[in-house]
Amino acid sequence: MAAEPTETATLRPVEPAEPLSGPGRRVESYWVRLRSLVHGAPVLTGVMVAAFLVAAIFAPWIAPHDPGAASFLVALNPPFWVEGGSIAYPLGADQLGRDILSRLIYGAQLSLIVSFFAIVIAGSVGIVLGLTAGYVGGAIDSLIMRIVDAFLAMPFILMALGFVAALGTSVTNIVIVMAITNWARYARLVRGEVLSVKERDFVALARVAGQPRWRIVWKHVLPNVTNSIIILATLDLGRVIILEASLSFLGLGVQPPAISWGLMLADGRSYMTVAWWLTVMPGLAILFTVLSLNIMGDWLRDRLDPRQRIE
Amino acid sequence: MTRYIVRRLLQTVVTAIFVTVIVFSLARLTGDPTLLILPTEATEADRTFFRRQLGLDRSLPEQYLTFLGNALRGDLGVSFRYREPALDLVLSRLPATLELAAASMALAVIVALPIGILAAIRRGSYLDVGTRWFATLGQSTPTFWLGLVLMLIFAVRLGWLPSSGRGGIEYLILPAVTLGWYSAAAIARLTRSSMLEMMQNDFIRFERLAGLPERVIVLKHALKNAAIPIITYMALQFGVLLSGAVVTEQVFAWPGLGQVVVEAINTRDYPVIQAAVLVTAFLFLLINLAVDLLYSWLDPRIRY
Repeated sequence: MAAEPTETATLRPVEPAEPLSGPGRRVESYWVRLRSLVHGAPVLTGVMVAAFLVAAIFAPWIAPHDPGAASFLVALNPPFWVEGGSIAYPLGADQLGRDILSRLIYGAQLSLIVSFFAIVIAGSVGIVLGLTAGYVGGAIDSLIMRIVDAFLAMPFILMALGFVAALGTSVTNIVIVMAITNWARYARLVRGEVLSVKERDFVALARVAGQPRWRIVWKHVLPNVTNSIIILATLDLGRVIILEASLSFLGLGVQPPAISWGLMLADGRSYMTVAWWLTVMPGLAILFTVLSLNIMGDWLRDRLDPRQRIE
Repeated sequence: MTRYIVRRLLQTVVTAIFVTVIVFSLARLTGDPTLLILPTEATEADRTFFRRQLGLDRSLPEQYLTFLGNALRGDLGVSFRYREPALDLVLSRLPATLELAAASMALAVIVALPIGILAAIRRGSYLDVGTRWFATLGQSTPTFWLGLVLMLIFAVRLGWLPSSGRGGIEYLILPAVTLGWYSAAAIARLTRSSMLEMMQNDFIRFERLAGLPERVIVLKHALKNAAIPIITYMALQFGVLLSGAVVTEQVFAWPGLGQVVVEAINTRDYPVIQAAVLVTAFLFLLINLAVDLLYSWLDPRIRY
C-alpha cells in the first residue's frame, strides 16, 4: 500500500498517435480510448450503480405508486413471492399501506442528493485547503493539518449528531453536516499527494520558468492528484449514504414526510416480527447500492492508481 | 528520540485544543440556551439574568477561555435534564461502551487476522476470493440493519440469544458481532494486502531459497514486518468502533454512551453532548499517541 511513488507508476498509457486529419479518425480514437477505459469494468456493478442513478433522478416517472399514498386495504401486504402478496405491490406495503418499492425509489433520490452534494462541498473545501497546506508549507501547513487532525479525531457519528442537533434536520443541514464531517480526509489526501508531486522535475521546471504559484498549482499539481480524489469520492458516496441512513435511523436525520431508507428502516422496526420486509427491503437497498459503489471505487483504484493495487 | 516524543506530544496538545474549539463552537451554534433551560413564561429580565450567570454576555474569546479553563478542571457543565455534572454522567456510561468496543475489536481481530494471512498465502484460492468478498461486503453493510437482521434471526426466530440489554456474555454476542463486522472486514483486507506486499520482498525470497520452513517465514518474519500498518489501522478502527457504538447501542438497548448521547440530543441537553464528544475524541487522540510512541520505541528508524 505504502510503496514509494515512482515515476513509472504515474505515467499514463501511451496515447495512440494523433490522426492526421478527418473527423472519422478522431471518433475512432475516442472509441478506442473509451473501450480501453471500460475494459474489465465490473458490468453488474455498473448496471446497479446506473439503476440507482436512474431511480434517483427519474423517481416520479418510475415509481408505480405515489410514495405517500396510504391505503389501509393493503397495509402490511407481503412481497409478491410470499403468500398473500400481489404484483401491484411487488415488494410489499408498509404499516400504512404505502408501496415499499415506490418509497425505495424516492429514498434513492434523497441518498443521491445528500451524498453527491456533501461530497462536492467536502471535496472542494478539502482540495483547496490540502493544496494550500501542501504547496505553501511552513506554519500554514502545520495549522491546517492540526485542524484536520482535530476533525479526524472526533468520533464521526457523534460529531455529525452534535452538528445536526445544533443546526436542525432539514436536507440542506444534513448535507452541510456531512460536508463538515468529511472534508478533512480530502485535505489530508491532497496534501500528501501534493508533497510528492511538488518535488518532481516538471514542477521545478515550471517554477524556474517563472510561472506564478497559483498557475503551477492549478495546471501542474492539481491534475496529478485528481485520480486519488476521484477514487476517494467514489468510496465516500457509499459511506455518506450509510451515515445519512444511520442518522435517519436514530431519528436525527431528515424528518417525515421526507423519505429516507434509514427512516423506513426505523419505522419498520416495530413490525419486524410480523412483517420482515419493512426492515429487510430498505436494508438491502442500502447494502446493494453501497456495495456496488465500493466495488466501483476499488475498480477505479486499480485502473487509475496502480500504486495502491491490492493484487 | 526525546525530540520526537516532545514534538509528537506538542502536536497532540495542539490538536486537542482545536478539538475543544470545535466542541465549543458546536455549543454556540445552538442559539440561546435560555430558551431551552427556562420555562416559556420566563420574563426577559429572567433571561438576561440567566445569560449573565452563564457568562453568555461576554465576548466569544472570553467565553471560550472560560470553557477551556473549566474543561481543564474537569468541569464540562451540568446536564440540563439530570442536574448532574455532564462529565460524571458520560464517564458513568463509558465502561459499558468500552466493554462493547473491546469485545468487538477482539472478535474482529480473531476473525480477520487469520483469514487475512491465509488469503495472502493462498492467493487466488477460494479462501482468498471469499476473503475479498467478505471485505467488500463488510464495508458496505449498514450496522444498524445488520443488528436488526441478526436480532430477527438469532433472538426472535431461533431464540438462542437475548435481543437486548446488558448482562452476561450472551448479551454481548449479538452487539459485538454487529459492531465488529465492519472492522473485521477492514482489518482482513489490510492484513491481506500488507502480507502480500511483504511476501514479495527479497528477504522473504532468500529465506525460501535458504530452505526455512514456510511457517517460520510467514509468521515470524512476514507478519512481524507487516504488523506496523496493521496495528496502526487497529488503533484507527477503535475510533470507528467508539463512534459506531452509538448506533449499535440504540439497536440493542445497550446502556452505554450512545444511549446517553441520543437521549441528550432529543432533549437538547448540550453539556452532555459536548462532554461525550470531548471524552471520545480525547480517548481517540490518546490511543493514537500511545501507538505512535510505541513504534518509535519498537523501531528506532521511525521519525516523522
